[in-house]
Amino acid sequence: MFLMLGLGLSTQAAAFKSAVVTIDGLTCSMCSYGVEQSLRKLDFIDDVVMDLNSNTARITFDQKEEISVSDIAKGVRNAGFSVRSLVCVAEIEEQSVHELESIQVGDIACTFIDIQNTDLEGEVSLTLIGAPYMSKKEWKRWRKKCPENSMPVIPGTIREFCYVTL
Amino acid sequence: MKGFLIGFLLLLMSFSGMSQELFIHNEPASVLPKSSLAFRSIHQFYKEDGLLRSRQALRVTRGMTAKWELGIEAGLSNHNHPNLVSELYDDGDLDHDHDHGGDNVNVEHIHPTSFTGFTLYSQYRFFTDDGPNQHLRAAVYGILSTNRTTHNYAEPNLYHRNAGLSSGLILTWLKKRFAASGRLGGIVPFGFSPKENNRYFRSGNALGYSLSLGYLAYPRKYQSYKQVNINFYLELMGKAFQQARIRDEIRWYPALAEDETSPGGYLDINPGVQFILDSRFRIDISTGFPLISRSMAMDYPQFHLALQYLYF
Repeated sequence: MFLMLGLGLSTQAAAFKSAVVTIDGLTCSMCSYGVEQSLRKLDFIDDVVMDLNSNTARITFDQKEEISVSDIAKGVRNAGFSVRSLVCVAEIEEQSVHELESIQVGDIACTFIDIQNTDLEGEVSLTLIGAPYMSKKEWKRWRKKCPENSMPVIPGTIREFCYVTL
Repeated sequence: MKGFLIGFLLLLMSFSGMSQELFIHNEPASVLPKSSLAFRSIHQFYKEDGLLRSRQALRVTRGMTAKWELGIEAGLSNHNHPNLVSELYDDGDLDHDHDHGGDNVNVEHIHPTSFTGFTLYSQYRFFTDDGPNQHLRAAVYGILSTNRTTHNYAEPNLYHRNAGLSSGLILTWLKKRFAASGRLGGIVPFGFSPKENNRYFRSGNALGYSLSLGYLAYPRKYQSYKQVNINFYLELMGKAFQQARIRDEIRWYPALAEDETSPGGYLDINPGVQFILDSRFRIDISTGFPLISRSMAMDYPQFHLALQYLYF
């Protein structure tokens, strides 16, 4: 059974605006172009600016569409590469968060791990934690901190769950 | 020439430092991005007895999933003659002065350009270890060929001579500007019955192997997708194969020993250069020379030109 955690789910208004995804496993511009095109196929992605030297894609979301963080990771994998890091920028109304507390961003439930009690307001960068969002080595380090069966019980508006840190 | 090639190889290996694994002759363990479609036209030439032998092929490959690609190639060549050389078997009259008259006179010089068949290629990447500007990957591949041309070579070639099956493994390592990839696979050709001939001919079973090295020479630093990429490649490729066999109405038996039908093996070296325009159009140019022994099925030097457009 899922456990209800911390103060449960906050449903205060929050939305993802943009993201930065760093990609592992490639060096050539043809490969970077493949990743960019794969990401551009996602309806909720408005624009992608790729840095060909650092293989970092700056993504702007189309606010009218349903955003999916797991689809971003899938887009990178479909092009044949791996996500090293995924940082999403969320616009959050004033709110304080605690370890293992979840907030709702759009229709995604984000559970905070490895944080102190923190007040959030305005644009906040959330680093995604999970096997699809980081290197295998990094996930090995993080997985112990991610409690199993810890996703909050959520009303029907939630499509996706993820762990995040600040 | 050999000294130059070894020097080139050492030069290539001494670079450390973004690389290229878009090898001209061999597939890396990586596959095409999902839903992308690559169109490649392939043109190969060499001179033999003063004649220009050529092969033209079109290959279409699609990334079916993130890890699986599927391709089909169809080609024309003038490498082959229409009839099986009758010196290969004992036709009963024991007259092997190579003057058979009729259809088999000067078969070496009859080279109509003809459609050779289809080759289906499938590759699945089963191991991936990606890091910043690097990866180590492994894939398994399978080939099914319907090519059917008359020839007398023990060496099988599923891309324009033999119908048959092949399967093997590819291991590719990429680090910044340098990439290296090895391939090892088995080849099982099917027998075929040449035109106007009661015999079946079957090339030998074979092992195919390659080591491909690639180096990204330009640009040193990326500024846009529009920049031309220049990559240098050195690919060592070869096969080791069993003796060709002939079948009459009763049984298979080894083809009478000739250079072409004997068991053997070789390793060729193929230096090449590649230009990538607009991050999606590839121009591949390479030449091939024998390094250890040689192929009896083709002459040297070989010239290879390929153009590929990748639709994402």
